[in-house]
Amino acid sequence: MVAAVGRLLRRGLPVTPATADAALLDLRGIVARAADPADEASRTAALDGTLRGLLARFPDTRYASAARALFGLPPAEPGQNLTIRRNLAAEQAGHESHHFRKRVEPKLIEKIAWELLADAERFTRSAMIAPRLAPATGRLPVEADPFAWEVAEHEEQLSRLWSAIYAARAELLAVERLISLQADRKDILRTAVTAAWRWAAARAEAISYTTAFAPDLGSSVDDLVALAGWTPALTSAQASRLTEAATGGASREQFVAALHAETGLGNAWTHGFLARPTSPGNTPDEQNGHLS
Amino acid sequence: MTTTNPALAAALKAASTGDPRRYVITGGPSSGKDDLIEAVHAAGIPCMAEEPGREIYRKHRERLGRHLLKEDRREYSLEVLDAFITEYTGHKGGIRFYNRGIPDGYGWEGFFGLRPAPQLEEATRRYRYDAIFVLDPLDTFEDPDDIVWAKDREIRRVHELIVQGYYDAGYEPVFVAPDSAAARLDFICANLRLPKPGRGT
Repeated sequence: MVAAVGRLLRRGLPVTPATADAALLDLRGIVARAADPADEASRTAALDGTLRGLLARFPDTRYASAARALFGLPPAEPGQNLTIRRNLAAEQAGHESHHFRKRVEPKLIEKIAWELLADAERFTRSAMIAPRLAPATGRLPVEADPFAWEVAEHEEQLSRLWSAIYAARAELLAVERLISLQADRKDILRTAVTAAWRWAAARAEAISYTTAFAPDLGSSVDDLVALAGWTPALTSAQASRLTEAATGGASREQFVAALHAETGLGNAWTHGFLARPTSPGNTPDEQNGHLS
Repeated sequence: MTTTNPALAAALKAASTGDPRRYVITGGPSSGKDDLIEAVHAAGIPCMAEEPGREIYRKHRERLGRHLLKEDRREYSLEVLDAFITEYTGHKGGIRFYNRGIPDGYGWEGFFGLRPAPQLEEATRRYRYDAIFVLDPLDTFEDPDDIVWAKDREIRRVHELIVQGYYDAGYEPVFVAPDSAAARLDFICANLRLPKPGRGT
């Protein structure tokens, strides 16, 4: 990264495709800013804008002007060669040119490389990781701004999605615990139905979230609900039927009523749990397959 | 509250008969933009009253009865663009500040993974502003670990995408460091060689 930033120095800004290193063009912050991330020219423009913004707000005020001059921004002028820019930067920093080149310039380059990495970190989007929570230090009103409204709504949906995934996880764990305890079959089946309801609600939330906020994220609905835990194998039609019954915040009772006639689906779910090798003797009969 | 400096009022009056001068104040949420816009109004400097995107957003939400999906955002974005063009072309002479500008559309579209609309690119070429002031966020997260809410992270992302939009549009924005609204307005006026409202009494 440091070497790639150093190579940009020879020509300075603006960054051109000839001077931009792939390591820089592939940074998440650059890809995210590019109007067309697949296009190298677009990512080059994004790198140029990022560096200009970074240099305009260079965090070390002592060397801010020197850093800008070094890369060809005012007080330097476009087209000046590196030697002229370096001399100007040394003057801005109040150093002799040789000292500046040997001692200060490498540190400025390192600082810019670090800032680019920190910027990339800010652009990391990992929908597969639940948002971290921290104690609120005060009320955080949402600013009257369309961006802020969208961002707040995104976080609302994200929170709903993860609460649904964790609720499903809790019930799936409860089923496995009851099986391990060799609990009463009725208890196991009742909990398995609760797990189906929670799992289906999580799937409905995952569909809602990915449709609205992450159509291009690459995380499928199935990838998201798989994070809740293991579930019996279902066909696509069965998974859709379960999801449909849980959509719209349906209660457990409403969910069970909607699936009352779905004996095959009930069997697929409950047999999946009870027919596992750890409990070979616990095969339910058809009656137990009803979701109830 | 900032008071109108007589020297500033005289400078604004002198400029009012000249060519239009358009200055954009922009930045992501939590940048203190609303407070600064209020200070601009209080100083008697001509300025857009409210960012048109807010009312249009409310209208779209009401019509749809749900949050905006990707396809809705394009429609929203074009309607906001029309409102910004109307604001731009309605100004005929003198100094005027804008609460966001046409290139903010790049940030909005980038935030939602949309490619810039041809209408946005055309408007960006045709309607040029004289200076862009980007308000850096008031909340500074020195340590990335401090950014624990997805919302905070996204707000920072919005801000950087807005900045990139202005670079893409061929501007060199002036960054306004976090400070009080009055101090920021003084900084902006000094940059534009206008008398500082903060010195007016």
